[in-house]
Amino acid sequence: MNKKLFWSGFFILSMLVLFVVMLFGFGLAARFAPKVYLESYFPESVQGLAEGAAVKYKGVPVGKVDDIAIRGTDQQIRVSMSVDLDNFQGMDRRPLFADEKKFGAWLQEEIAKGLRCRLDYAGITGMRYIELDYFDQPGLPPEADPTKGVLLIPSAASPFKDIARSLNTSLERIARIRFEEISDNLVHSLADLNRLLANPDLRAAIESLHGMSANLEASSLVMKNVLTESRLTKIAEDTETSLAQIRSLTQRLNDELQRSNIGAGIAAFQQAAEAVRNTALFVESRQSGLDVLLERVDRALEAVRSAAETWENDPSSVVRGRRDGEFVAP
Amino acid sequence: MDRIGGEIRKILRQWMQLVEFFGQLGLDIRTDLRHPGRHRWRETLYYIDLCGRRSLGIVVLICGLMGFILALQGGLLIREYGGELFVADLVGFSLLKELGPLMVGMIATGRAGSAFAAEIGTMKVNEEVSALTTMGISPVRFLVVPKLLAMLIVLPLLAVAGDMAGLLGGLLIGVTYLDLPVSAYWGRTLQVLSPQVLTLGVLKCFVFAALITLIGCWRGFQADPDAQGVGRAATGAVVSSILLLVVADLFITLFYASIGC
Repeated sequence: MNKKLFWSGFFILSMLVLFVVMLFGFGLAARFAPKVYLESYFPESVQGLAEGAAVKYKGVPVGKVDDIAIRGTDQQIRVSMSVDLDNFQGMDRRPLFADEKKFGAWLQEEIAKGLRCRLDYAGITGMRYIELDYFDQPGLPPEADPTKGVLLIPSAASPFKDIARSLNTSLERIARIRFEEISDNLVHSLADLNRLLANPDLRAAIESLHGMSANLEASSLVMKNVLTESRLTKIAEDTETSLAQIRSLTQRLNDELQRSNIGAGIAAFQQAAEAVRNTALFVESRQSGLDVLLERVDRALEAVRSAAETWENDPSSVVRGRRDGEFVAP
Repeated sequence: MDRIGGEIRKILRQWMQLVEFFGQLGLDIRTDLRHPGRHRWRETLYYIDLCGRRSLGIVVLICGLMGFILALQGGLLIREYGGELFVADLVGFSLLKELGPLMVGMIATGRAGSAFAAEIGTMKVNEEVSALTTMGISPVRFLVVPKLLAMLIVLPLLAVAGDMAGLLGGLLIGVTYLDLPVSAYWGRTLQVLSPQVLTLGVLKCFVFAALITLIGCWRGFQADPDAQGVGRAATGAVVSSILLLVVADLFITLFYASIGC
């Protein structure tokens, strides 16, 4: 065997194999995979979208953009895409759609659920790709005369377009605001405010407020000096001690009350009160007789007092009797 | 005036000889295509071995280092913006479309182009070329066609090897320096590159192979019959080939751009 020839042949064959492997690695196999062709129409600019750009379903690359063209009749941009059916798999990881017909039926169902295609930015470079996802947007009406053998999918406005639309709406609303009227009102309000500020009563009130504020500040300072932390702590401790004493006293009082049998005392007191009340009633009933008796006693006492005075002034009267007109018998 | 006229006449004669050379080449290729058995296969295999297999090591090394450098420089810049993964795009596209074929062409110029010029120049100095002509053998068919075929075969293959080495060099930097997962970097490379990109780069190599071979051989045939003539022919072959490679690369790239590739 010629070694040189062998190694030359080995070199050629190995490089050829490497070339073929690289071709397949870079996606040659995808060219032989079953495909379906989709079309969509965009009313907005497709700046950044190029042929070969990715088509993604919920972020998963499923195909690429084949062609971009302008439909002159209504100035819409037609974007033709090819989607590899192998990317859609069933539960058993086998391709879900055997042919274009099944995929078409599935696509119609998904479009009814809100599936749309939208332009999205691929990064900060401005390049765009087609995103197939479920958007809450009505999409374009179906094409009257779609290209034969091509499935149609409605487009949705890109996020940037949404932002621009929101901005336009906001600007329109801002434009409707009557700034001149607001300005006039503001001028009037400011004039009124100036007049109000110039009012002497308001100034006096403000000065009073200043004074009050100063007083409050001084009070706060005093409070701050008086109510030091140590004092507050002491007050709290005293209060706590007092409360403890009150609690102890209350406890003792309760004990004493229980020991003193207050019920029996009250009953006895009630009996005594009853007796007093009966006595009072008896005295009241005997009051007229008592008055006569007291009057007699009073006269008797007066007679005694008169006799005593007579005996004091004229002791001899005890023997000879009282002179006329000097002694009045009771 | 005599000198100027002499130089102009010399240039015109060279251009006429070049046209004659191309004419002879066309005839000889047609003859070989009609009678493949008459083609000098042994010499072709010799040049495949010389220019291909023996150049593989240096091609892999240089292209690997190119991928390494591209990823490093690109990564330093792109990581400022948090786009380290895009280094895969940079390395992949740069190497497969431009730098891979160009670097392989440069290496082949240094190894094969100068060798062809020196070989044919030496034969001319030794009057072996004249002997072939005297024997009725076309020196172009005898000396140029095997080299051309060998170069047309090996240069695209070397470019494929160089591309792969460059991609692996970039991957090495992406994984070690930019802390990217192997799967992320390689996945991104496979995602952004397409068979078309690889094929476009490889197609350039056919043009480069033809340029390197024809310039080397032509310089050899034009070598002065003295001791320094061979050296000047080899140097001239390398310089002219490198210049024309870059110019050809420019036009091919413009052509690719014009057809949207």
